Amino acid sequence: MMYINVNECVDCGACEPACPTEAIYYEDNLPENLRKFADANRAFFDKLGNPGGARKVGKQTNDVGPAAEIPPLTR
Amino acid sequence: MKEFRVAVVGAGPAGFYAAEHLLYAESLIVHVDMFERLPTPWGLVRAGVAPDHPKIKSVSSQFVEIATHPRYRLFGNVEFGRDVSREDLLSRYDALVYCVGARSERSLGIPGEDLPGSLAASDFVGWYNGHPDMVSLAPDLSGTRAIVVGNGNVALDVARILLLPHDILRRTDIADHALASLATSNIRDVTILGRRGPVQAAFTTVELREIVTMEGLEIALDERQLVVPEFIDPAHARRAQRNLTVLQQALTAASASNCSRRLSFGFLRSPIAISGRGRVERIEVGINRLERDEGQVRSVDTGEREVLPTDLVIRAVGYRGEALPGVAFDERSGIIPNVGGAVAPDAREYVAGWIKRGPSGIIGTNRADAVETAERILGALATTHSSAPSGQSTLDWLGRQCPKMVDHASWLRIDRHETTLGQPANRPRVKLVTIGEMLAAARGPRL
Repeated sequence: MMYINVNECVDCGACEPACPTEAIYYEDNLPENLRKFADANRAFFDKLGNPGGARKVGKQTNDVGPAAEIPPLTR
Repeated sequence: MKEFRVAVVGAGPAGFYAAEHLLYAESLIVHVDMFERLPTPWGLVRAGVAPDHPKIKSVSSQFVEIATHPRYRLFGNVEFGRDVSREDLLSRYDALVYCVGARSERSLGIPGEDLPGSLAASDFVGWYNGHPDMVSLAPDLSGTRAIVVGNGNVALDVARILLLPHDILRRTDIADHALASLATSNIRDVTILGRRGPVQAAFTTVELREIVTMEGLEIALDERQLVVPEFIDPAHARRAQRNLTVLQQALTAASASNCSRRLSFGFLRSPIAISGRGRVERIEVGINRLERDEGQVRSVDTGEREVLPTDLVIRAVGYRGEALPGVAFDERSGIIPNVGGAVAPDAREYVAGWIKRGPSGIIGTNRADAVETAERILGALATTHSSAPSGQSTLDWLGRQCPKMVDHASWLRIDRHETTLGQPANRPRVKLVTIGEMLAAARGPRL
């Protein structure tokens, strides 16, 4: 799963139309049945904090919440 | 590894994203010199994004970070075409990237457009954001009614700034002259006009919801227009549906009592003429219906007319690029013609951002846009060798050419000066709004 840091996101919205699977929502627009992903998104940053962008911390492998239970897709 | 020198013209989002991708390239070492006509960088993040949107403005922290790269230099207060020419830069850099944005407003092309009281949104936005070119705009806010033409986020910004309580504005980095003027503004009734319907409007949902839920604001619109049409562009269906829901909720939630200000949406309305004795007094609008035309939804004039009395007209129908001296320009679309960011196959000239694709999208859109251009530059550079003179020699030349050049360290002094001025009132910053004040702050405190 892709995670967005709520403290560092500037609400520009560019990711929303760019997502090929329409998986990104503004929190206010998130359908009720997807709410658990918002919680997982928040929990993901418990350990990382606010690193100031993805470049510094590199690729992470510790999925949390519902995404952790889904085996990674192989291409 | 091979080293190159690239000049980025324009220190807005597109310029910074292009610079970032060039500076962090793994295959080449690229030095980036950023030219900016103002003493202050960040383009529309400073002079465009509304002052009550600090979260969006915080994207500037990315630019701050990029600017700490050791191969980045800022040459502010240097105007392309006035202080340095295209030929100057072509002789000193391996490649140029024009990221100059779109600084003027499209015109409506209707009678009365130039009457006092009729303004371009780009000017009004520059005025409340303290752009040095717009300090003397002084819009007359003594009347009670304003009409904003356009159905995008800029129209919402303009309407919101006109309607926001002073108590909210005074905590922002809005220009002091605008804060004072808005404090005594009599505008109470704002109408946003759009030639098509709510489904076709370009408002983003978050910003639409923000304005219609503003405290003390009555929302007025024709409920019959809030229907989902049979034809809807699938690319925008999700946003359209959400916007309709927001407007429906606004109508049901709004109790007209205790509202001191009103926002009306006039959908299916095209301005025909602005008139008045010596200044704006009314606007005539044509009423449209929608027709489907090859997958597009077009507005068609029904011939019916309406006259709306108003004291102010602000047109927010889209920004428009301006030609750069000596650089190709497409008058019709207001962009520099290019293929994927390259101006011509072997030209060493590139474009990114609005001057490349036209004024569309949001700040983040410019990242992918600039990365595409930067990739082209890196690809072209990889097959050549640098013929650029040293960075020091360019700095010496620029020192002679533009003695009032504002470098990165000088900009940091302006930045610190502004944020320090803001502290007593708990504002993010108090903007300096004239070049003279900025240059004084750039020199730093007198010892």
